[in-house]
Amino acid sequence: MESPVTISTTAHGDTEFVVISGEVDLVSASAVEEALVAAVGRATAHVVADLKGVSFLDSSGLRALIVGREHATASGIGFRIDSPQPVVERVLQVTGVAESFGL
Amino acid sequence: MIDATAGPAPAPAELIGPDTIRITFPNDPKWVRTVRLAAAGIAATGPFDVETIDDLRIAVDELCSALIDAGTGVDIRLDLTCAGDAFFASGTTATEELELDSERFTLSRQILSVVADEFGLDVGDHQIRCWFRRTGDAGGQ
Repeated sequence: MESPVTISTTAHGDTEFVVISGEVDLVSASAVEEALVAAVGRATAHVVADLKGVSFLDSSGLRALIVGREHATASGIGFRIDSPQPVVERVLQVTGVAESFGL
Repeated sequence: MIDATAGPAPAPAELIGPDTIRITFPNDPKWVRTVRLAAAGIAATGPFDVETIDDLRIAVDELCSALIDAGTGVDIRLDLTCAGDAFFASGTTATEELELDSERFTLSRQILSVVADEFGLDVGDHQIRCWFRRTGDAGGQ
């Protein structure tokens, strides 16, 4: 079965960008978490999770973002989310974590 | 029995009607995406706008994820009903869990409390049942 998510990473200056597209759910959350933790390991100052292409996010995906943020905090790295679609931002808002991701 | 309902649990008969679609699928996360699509298709037969259907996709996903997490690996049975201005979902599977207290499940409950009008979780007799109800104009925040 085709993976419901695609992940790419790029670095610009002191920031690691993790660009995620597709649906982040129980199937794909572990791949997202691995990519975010790896980006934190490479980053010198900031990690940005670009969610512009994410059309669905559930509690598994949210947990992956939280783990990424926790790793960043422990490493003294900034972590924020960029460009979530309304359906994704709604999940972040109702769970009370949006602000902690810079939204 | 642990009753983790967020409101008064409706009688199971309320969740089943002549238009109920029953889906039985293996306890494998790869099928949840397909179930989400089915739920959205069923919801599209009702008076729901796009935002509400998005909420229903999320609610069905959280319901299925809870059943997969807590299940023993046997098939999951899900009943989806679109009746009048309401959408009902109820799922069951076998479990050996007595409590679901993981951080992900806490997040799941937070999400369900918003995207559904009411939801519940019952564990007992080696079975777990999750359900939610959402109306077209009263649910969500």
